[in-house]
Amino acid sequence: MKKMTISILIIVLIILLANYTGLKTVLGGLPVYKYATESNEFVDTEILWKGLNFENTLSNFKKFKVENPNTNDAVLYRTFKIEPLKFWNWHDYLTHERYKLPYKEIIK
Amino acid sequence: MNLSKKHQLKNYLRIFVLLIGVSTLLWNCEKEEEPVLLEQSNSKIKVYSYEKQEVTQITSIIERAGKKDPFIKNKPSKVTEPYWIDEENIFGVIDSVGNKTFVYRLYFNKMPENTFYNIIVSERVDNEISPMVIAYEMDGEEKKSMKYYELESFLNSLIQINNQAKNKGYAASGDDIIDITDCGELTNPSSSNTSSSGYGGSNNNNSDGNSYTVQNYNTYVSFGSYNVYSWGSPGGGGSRVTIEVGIGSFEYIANALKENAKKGDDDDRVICPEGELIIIVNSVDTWTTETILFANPGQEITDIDKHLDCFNITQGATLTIYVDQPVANSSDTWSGSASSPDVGHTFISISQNGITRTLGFYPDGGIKPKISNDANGILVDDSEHPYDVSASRSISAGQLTSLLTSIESYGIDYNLEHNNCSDFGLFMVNQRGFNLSDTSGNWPGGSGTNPGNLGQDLRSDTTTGSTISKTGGKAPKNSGTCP
Repeated sequence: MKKMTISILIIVLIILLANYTGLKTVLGGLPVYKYATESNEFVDTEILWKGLNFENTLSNFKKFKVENPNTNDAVLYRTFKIEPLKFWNWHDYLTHERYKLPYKEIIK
Repeated sequence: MNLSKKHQLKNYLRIFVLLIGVSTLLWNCEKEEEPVLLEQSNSKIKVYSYEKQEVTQITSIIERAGKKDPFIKNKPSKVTEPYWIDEENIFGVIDSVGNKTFVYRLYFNKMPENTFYNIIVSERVDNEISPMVIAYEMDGEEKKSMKYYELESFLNSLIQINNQAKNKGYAASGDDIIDITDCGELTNPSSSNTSSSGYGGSNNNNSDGNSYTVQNYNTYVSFGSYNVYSWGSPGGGGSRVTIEVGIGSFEYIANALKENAKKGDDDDRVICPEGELIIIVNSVDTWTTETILFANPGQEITDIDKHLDCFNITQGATLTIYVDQPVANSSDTWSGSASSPDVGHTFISISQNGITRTLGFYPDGGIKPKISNDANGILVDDSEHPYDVSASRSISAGQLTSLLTSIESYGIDYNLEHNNCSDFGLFMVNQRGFNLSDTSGNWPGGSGTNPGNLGQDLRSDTTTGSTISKTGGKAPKNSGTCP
């Protein structure tokens, strides 16, 4: 029982370190997130480590809709999957707004 | 012993099942996700284009106001009249009640670059016609204001010259001064010192006692495309007045009015002039999807040839390199936390005769330092990207041509160590007269040219002809339209 508790604690610790420390960058690298509407009328990129954040994407999307009020392409999708095995992203998966967007595969 | 091993195995199995359970839960979350509209657009109002002869009644009112025929079909290279109206770009909207609102573009011989004018005419169902002039003044990059003028006094005063116009440089010479009846001024609250009204906007009171409210929708604020809302009940019982800048923002007006109604705001504020709905045309010539209005910062530039097509390659331009350092005035190669680092950014802008394009080089996919430094490269609109230090130089027509060619044909992949944003910026400027050092720096898992070191190199640059700005700020927005 003791061994199991220790094992669980180690796993939890690894998950926490992977989600909240530099281990996240080691495991996941420096991410680039791309967003698009259904017909790709609007495409945007989030590169947080270079100053392009998610709020910027939302702002751009709102402006897109203001400038295209009659568009039928008004749903914003993320083009990157939630990959449960990437445990270093679990915190983001559960809390970050970007993952609340619906998913679509990007078509080049 | 066997029992202990069995127990251990059982524990590992439990942990495995736990992990699978968590993974399945997260996976299911994605599967069950329904598409959600961030904001539902209910706007169905269309903008129509009109010929001058289709709106004869209004045309004659405008002509009478100026006591001449101010309409010109095509924008001439030189206009001798004090002002003129583009008769080929008349737009209009019809609201749900049937009120029509038309907008004309108004030009002057010497218009300041930061100001443009519209004549707005509302033809209401009760046959009331209320023409006016709105001047949009963009003071620098931040402050934006609108002034309302009675049409007749505005046009006549411009013909006869007024102090205000003369001081601002858009009138010729003359001694006759007529005060324009100024109906009010709205200033974007994000950049002014106005006080908050408590319901999402700011109340201002001008000298004639008029009061108006500016809704603070900063998200949509940009040159020529920002929303200003105001309402009032003239005489205590009239209809609300709505003023909109830009196209397609009706849903936001509706929301603003609803919010206001909820708060029981029904005082007798008056705004001049009265109108049911106003649509305003900015300095863009036509409302087509082909027109680059002002590309949104952070958006990938999908057609770089078109994006840069505005420059006259027979003339020189100003080339600027901007560096957003991870830590201002420091050669640190990164800042922030190791789980979410900030590595800074380097980008460039080209300016020529009021046309500006700002862009930078980014990776199209994720990077793993040391393991996978490569990704496809993309060019992104870096308008308004913050920076800490910049260097500018005038470049010749020949240098501009080669610069545009270099950008348009920059087909090299992004590499965090050998071809990153700073390498791109340095390559573009050092080929055109800059003489910036290329200092390498180290970061966990790699080394190379980087914004931290480049920023410091810019600060110490003494090359003749280069202008260094060390105060930082935001890069300019794109401005000017392509032919």
